[in-house]
Amino acid sequence: MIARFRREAPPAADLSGRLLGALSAAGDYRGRLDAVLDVLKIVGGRPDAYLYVAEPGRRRFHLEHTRARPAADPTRAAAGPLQTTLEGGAEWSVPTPPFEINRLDEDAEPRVVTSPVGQLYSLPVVAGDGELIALVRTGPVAEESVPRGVVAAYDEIAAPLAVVIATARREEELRQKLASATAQVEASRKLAGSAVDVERLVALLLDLALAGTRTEAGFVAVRSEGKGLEVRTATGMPEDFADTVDLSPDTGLFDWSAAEGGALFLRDFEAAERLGIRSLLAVPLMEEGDPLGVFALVTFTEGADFDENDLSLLEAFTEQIRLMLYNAQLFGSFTERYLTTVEGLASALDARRPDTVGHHHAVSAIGEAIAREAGLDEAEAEAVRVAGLIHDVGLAGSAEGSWESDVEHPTIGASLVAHLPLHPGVSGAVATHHEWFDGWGFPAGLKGDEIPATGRALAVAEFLVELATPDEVRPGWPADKLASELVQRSGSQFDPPVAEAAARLLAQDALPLPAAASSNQENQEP
Amino acid sequence: MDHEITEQNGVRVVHLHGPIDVSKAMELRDLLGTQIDSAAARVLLDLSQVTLIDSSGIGILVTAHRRADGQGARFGLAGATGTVARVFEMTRTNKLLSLYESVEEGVAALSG
Repeated sequence: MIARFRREAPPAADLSGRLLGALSAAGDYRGRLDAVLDVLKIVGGRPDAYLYVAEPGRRRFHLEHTRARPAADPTRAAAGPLQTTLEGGAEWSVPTPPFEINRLDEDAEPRVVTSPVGQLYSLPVVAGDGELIALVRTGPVAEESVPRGVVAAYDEIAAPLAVVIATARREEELRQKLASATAQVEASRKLAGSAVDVERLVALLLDLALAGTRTEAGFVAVRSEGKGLEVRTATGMPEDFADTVDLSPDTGLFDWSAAEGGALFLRDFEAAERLGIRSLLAVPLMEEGDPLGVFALVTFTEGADFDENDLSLLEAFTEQIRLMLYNAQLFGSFTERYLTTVEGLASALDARRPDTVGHHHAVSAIGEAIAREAGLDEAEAEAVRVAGLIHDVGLAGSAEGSWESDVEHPTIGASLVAHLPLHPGVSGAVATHHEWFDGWGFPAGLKGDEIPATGRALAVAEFLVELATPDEVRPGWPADKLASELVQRSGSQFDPPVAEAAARLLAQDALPLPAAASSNQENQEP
Repeated sequence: MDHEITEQNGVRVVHLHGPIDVSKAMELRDLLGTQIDSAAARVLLDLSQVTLIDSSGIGILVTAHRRADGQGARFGLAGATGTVARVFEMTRTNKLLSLYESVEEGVAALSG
């Protein structure tokens, strides 16, 4: 049967062409594996074929794809054992190939193996570097060894078959990574995708694109408001590349303008040469005619060029990066406008009473200064500044002076900004600025580290501003009295290191307290 | 860089071979600078044997195109296929340059 079949089989060149044709951009992963196993069935002259791929780092293969007769095929069912059903009848069970097999030394050579689906030819798939990357099996067969004719026919197609399997696997892995990165992008956008997340995800996409196109280096530059392009992430580029490369529109590395439909090309190839760049492929990231940024792949060595598959992959990644940057920009500008509205609302609340005019701005400035002095990082200090500008906005959500407004305003205020892609310390500080370090505050009665650092800093700032501001019944407290009060309340109302930081700033007269509280007005002490 | 120059209907056709990347950009600039030498110059670059072009190669082509325009000369590109054609599209430079399907088409357009 094999001999007859082999006379009819297409020449090896046709089969190789069919295999490599499976790599066309239009094909999907399963389609490519179908093509591999169909060719194998022709070579072996058998009806069923199985692909086992090696698991990296493990001496094991798993069943990746099957191209076998359908379960309902009577010739297939007949091969399995007869099984009795619960109702007392009988039916043919369809045997299945093992899902995982251990890797044996004999797998490196063509051989016949026995499996639940019968005896099969097992043929090695070896990559260009000599690594055994997969096993293809076809059967059922009666022989105890693989006939020479089949081995010879398989040898003819082994190389393209290995290329197709390796390429299909690599592309599938990338597709999965890309899908997971895209999901992360979506999730971060919907939840709390801060600017930091966007940077991280752009870097991740760049690394995936480099792996997928087997390119050594690359970078993503983004156009920022009022400035030219700025490098956001770079891999494999010279260390000082991001800081030293000139990307200005008039003289820089790239010539790029929206006026020319976003056409992007290298203006200064001599600068690229100085960097040791061999080839550089930069594609524009456009959104409705507006240039958002540049995505560039770079090679430093000869022979490392881009082929059509690389370009397809590059296009797919360009689209992802473009979408992410666009979403981040859209969400960023929305956040800015929304936050301005909330700040305006908070300031309007201040303006309702003469003694609270400017309260939010004062708390913001003092809170930021205390946060820095207490050693909070840059992002947290900025979060305290923003939180200070809006911390009492929740008072607008309930009747003025009511018990509810007093107790719930931190929660209401935090809920107004919690969904924004801001540092979590912003809503955290708004929610907790009335908590006490010993757990006696409100609304949640949190204590110690349960209160975010930004909330602990904001609490001290609000306390200082309130007591420093004179009202109808008492004059504003001077700095030294505020400082001694901080010391007394340290460890109970306030986090000791934060209270100490604020006391140090008070001693240096370094806090922009409301005017009535400067240290030379001790005579106004109550 | 590897090239031949033929003349067809008063159009100088520069047939390029191999990849055009940063390492070849300087040579290509000099080559095109010599060919686009007067208002009367009609220069067609045959890209059918070019295997790859990067952003630096495209930069030289756009500059050559602008120079030709500036001096009243004419400059076109012919026979870009596969990766080369894709790169023109991806970098959005296909609309900026004069691209012709074949040398014959390019010669007809530039000599007219």
